[in-house]
Amino acid sequence: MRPKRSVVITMNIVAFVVVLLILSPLLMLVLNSFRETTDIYQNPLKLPEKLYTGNYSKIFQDTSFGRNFANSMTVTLVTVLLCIVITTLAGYAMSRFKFKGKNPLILWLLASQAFPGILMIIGLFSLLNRYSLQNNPLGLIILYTTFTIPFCSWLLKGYFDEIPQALEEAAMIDGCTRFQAMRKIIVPMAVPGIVAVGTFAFLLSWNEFFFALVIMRENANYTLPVFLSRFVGTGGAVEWGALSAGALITALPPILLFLLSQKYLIGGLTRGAVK
Amino acid sequence: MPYILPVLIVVALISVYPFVNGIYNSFFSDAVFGGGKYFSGLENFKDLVSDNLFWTGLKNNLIWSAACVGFELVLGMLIALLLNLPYIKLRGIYRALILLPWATTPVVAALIWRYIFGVMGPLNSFLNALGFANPPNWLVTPGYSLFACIVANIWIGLPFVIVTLLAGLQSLPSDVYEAAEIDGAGILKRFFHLTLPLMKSLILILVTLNTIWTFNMFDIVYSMTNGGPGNSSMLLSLYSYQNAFAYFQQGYASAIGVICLLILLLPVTFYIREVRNEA
Repeated sequence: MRPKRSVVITMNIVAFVVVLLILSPLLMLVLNSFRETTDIYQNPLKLPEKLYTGNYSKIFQDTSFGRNFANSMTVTLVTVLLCIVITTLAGYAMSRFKFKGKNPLILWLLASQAFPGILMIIGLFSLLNRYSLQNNPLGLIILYTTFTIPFCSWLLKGYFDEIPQALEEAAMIDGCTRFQAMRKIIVPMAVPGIVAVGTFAFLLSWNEFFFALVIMRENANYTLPVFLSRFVGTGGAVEWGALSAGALITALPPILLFLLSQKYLIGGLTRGAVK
Repeated sequence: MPYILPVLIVVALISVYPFVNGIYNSFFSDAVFGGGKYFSGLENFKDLVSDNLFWTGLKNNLIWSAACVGFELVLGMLIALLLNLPYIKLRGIYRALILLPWATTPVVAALIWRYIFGVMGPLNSFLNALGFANPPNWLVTPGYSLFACIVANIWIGLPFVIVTLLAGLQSLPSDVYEAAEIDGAGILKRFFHLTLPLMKSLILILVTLNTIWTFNMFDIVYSMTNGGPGNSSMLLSLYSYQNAFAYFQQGYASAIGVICLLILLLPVTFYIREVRNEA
C-alpha cells in the first residue's frame, strides 16, 4: 500500500522540524559565540547582525582556556591509546580463552558500570593521595582508562567472537606465534570495533566532569569542563559571549570525531542490544 | 594468558579497591575540625533516616529518573518510528545529526540550557512574544528548577534512545508486517501487537541502562542550579558530593553512595541477567 503524497510530504516536514528542534540549542551556541554579551542579553531571539570574533580572542587571551584545552587533549589522547591497547588484549582474551575467574570478571565488568561515582571517588581518594595522583593529570588518565575498560572490552569481545578461530589457527600452523597471529590477522579485521572503542574513550574522557572536578584543584590543571563550570560562576551576571566561545570549542572535538566515526560507533553501540 | 593480566591488575586496583573502601568508609564518621575518623557502625545510616535533605534528594532522584527515562522512551519511540518511515529523505544524515547532543560535553549542554531557561533568555522572550506577560524565572523558582534540569537531561539522553530504538526497528522482520497488513491490522494494532512485543527485550535493556545512567547523573544539576533554590532541585549525587567535599563528611557521603548502590542493585542485576542471556 503506497502512502498518499500528502502524507509523505507532511512526514518529511515533521522529521525535518524535529531534527532542527533537537539541534537548535547547538545552533544557538554557535550564534552566541559570535555576538557581544550585551547583544546576547538584549536580543536573545534575533540573529546577529555582524560577526563578532572578540569572544574568541578574549577566551584565549584573558583566561587559562588554552592551557586547559591542552590538559584535556593530553589526558584524552593518552586515555584513548591506553584504552585501545588494554581492551584489545582483554577483549581478545575474553573471546578466545577459558580461564579461571573469567565469569566473575565479566560479571564485575558489567556491574561496575552502575557504581555511583561518589562511592568510587571517596574510596579512591586515599589511594590517589598516597601516590601523589591528586591534582595530577596522570590520576585522571588512570581513572578514565579504568572506566572505559568494562564497556570497551565487552564490545571488542563481541567483534572478536565473530571472527572465525580458524583464521589464526591457520596462521599459527604457518609459524606465527599467537600474538603475531592476533596482531597481523585478527586485529586488522576488528578495526571497526577498535575505532568505536577509541571514539567511546575519547568522548568519555573529554566530556567527563565529576572526577576532574574533585581531583584537579588548581586552575592550571583543570580540564575544559571544570574550566567552564568555574568560568560561569555560581550566580550573578554571566559573560555569555566568551563562555559560548569556550563552550563551542569544548564541544567541537567530540562532535567532529563523532561525525567522522559515527558509522562504526553507532554500529558498536547498538549491536549489543539488537543482534 | 599474558593478555589478560594487565587488565586484571588494573581492574582490581582501580575498581574493586575503591568500591570496597567506599562501602567500608560508610561505617565511619568524620570528626569535625580535622579530628580524623572513627568507627561509628550504622550511625551514618541512622542519621540519613532523620535527614530531611536526604529525603528531598531521594524524592527528587525518583522524579528525575522516572521523568527523564519515561519521556526519553516515549519521545524516542515516536521519533524512531518517524525516522523509520521508508519515504523519509536524508534518513542517514538525520540519524547522525540527531546524536550530536549525546556527543556534546554535558557541562556545555547544561550551560546552554541555563542560558535558554535564564530570566531574560530565549525561552522567556519567546513566551513574551506569544503573549505570556510574566513567564517564570525558571532556574530560581522551586518546582521549576528541577523541571528545567530534567529538560536539559532529556536533550542529552534522547539521542541514544532514538538511535537504539531505530536500530531495533530496522532489524524487525518485514514479512510479519506484510502479513499483518494483508490481514487488515491497522497502524496502532501493528505497533502494540507486533512492534512492542518483538522489541520487548531491547526496550527493557535500554530502559534499565538508561535508569542507571540517569540516576547517577551529576553534571547537569551541578552546573544549572547547584541543587537550588533552597535545595529544591537537590539530587543524591550532588548532596553526597557536597558532604564529601564541602563539609568534609566522607563517611556520611559514602553512606549516601551506598544507598544509591542498593537502589540500583535491582536494575543492575536485571541488566546483567539480560545481557548474559543474549550473549
